Amino acid sequence: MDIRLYLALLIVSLVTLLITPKLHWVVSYPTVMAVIGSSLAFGSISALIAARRLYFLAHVTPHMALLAAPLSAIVLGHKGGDWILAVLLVLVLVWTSGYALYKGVSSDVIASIMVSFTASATVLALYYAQRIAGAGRVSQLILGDPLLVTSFEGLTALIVGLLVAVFSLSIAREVFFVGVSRETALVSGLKVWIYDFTLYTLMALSVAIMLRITGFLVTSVLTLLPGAIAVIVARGSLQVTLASITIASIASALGLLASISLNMPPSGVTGLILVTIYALARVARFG
Amino acid sequence: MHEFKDIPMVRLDSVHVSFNGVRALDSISLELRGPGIIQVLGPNGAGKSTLLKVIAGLIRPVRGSVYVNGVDVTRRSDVAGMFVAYMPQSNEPPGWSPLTVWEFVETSVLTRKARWPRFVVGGVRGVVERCLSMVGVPRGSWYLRLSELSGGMFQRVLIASVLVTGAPIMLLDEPLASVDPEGRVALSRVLSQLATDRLVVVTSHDPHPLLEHTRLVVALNKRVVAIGDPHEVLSRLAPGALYPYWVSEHGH
Repeated sequence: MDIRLYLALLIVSLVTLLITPKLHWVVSYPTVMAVIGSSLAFGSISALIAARRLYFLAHVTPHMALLAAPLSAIVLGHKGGDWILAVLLVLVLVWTSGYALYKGVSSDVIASIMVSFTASATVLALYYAQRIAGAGRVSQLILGDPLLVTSFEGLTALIVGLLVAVFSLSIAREVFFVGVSRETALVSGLKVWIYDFTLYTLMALSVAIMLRITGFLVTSVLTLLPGAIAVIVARGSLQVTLASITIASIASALGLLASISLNMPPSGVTGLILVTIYALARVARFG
Repeated sequence: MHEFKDIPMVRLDSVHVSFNGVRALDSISLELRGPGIIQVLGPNGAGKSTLLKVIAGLIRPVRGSVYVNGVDVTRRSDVAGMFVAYMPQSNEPPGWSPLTVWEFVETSVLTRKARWPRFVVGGVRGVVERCLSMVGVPRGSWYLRLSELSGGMFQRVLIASVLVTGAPIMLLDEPLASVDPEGRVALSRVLSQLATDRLVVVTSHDPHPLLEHTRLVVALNKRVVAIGDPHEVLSRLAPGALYPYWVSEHGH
């Protein structure tokens, strides 16, 4: 398919999201901003993850974010600013994983250690965080609910989503090239570590900031499937990245509308829509 | 095509490489001067690929230094990349990659000639077209994904990605391994044309497809077993030193 088709579909899905508050009063503009932001961020980062086959990172980063959120709430209490501390914690954990990979540790080993550590520590952190932040806030971290975001959170998500999408599109060509042959890329003078570092940073920012919107359980799906679907239906770095953003946006728009009609959590419906699109794309292409 | 004031040259001084204590290259001292094709021959595990990677600055030797055109490139792939283009050993296209043939070859040259962000690029279309045609990639395959190519066609694309850089030194790791016999003859001609003004270092198990174009043979088995004129080296190798079948083919 053509890049123009993906752009048209992307515009349709974004317009659908923008007019949703006019049709359904329960949906506010902060919610729409949050959903658009998360679609842009996860859609673009998902394409890069698929190109570099860094699927382990899509599995472990939500675990890191789920640990960082209650931990920062415990550290800062009611002082505020726990978002910033949570983002910093996730950045440190993601960079540590990236450095271990660079030093030759296998992705399976990194995933095993990181998931074991973060899952165990998260249980302890959530136990104490419930006393400070309340059970509702903890539940939002796990299930996610864009309908509950504040104006500040919605605007932050939109800005981060736009930045992640622009950066991802600007480095897509090089990241896809490194995905074919890291050694060729190194000899061709590409500073591969800079692209890796940027990719890890975008991943950490996206997941840490969007966790409250999409929830821990669906974040992995959103970072894995749009890219995996785009790789099946599109070709070329720019087209795949754009297709991935479009797929994430369509799934988010449909998920939000369906969740309102069916009175279900939006992130769960969005996740199921992505799984359905993935299955359809595979069947259509490979039979 | 490029013109070079200096003769492309690679020099290795007492290079030792080992992986987890296992020796891969032992005290390699070599001087490879261009232009021309130099074949590095040896059995599996002889260190052929390791030798190319050391020259490309991708592997740090335990001891010794590597110089390309007089510049120390030991473990400095970015510096080596100023003179060297490298084609890794690959028999299968990456099954997941949605990158197209065109974009892959185009990016190979853009990473050297354009700065980030590399969205809109001009001036390389002609050279990409020429290189893809030269290695025999049909026009109909230019916009296929890499994952849709056969092993032989992917190898041609890899060779094109090296050609397009215009580097004075080309390191090709088994470039003809997956190519059909007809393609081997055609690609051998292409490589010999390129070698008129470049140093082309090729690793191989089988010296014959490129033999008539080869200026020098390096027989390697963790250390340099023999070096010199191709026919001379192949005929004077002790029986079984590298491959027993060479010996029988050369009448010993």
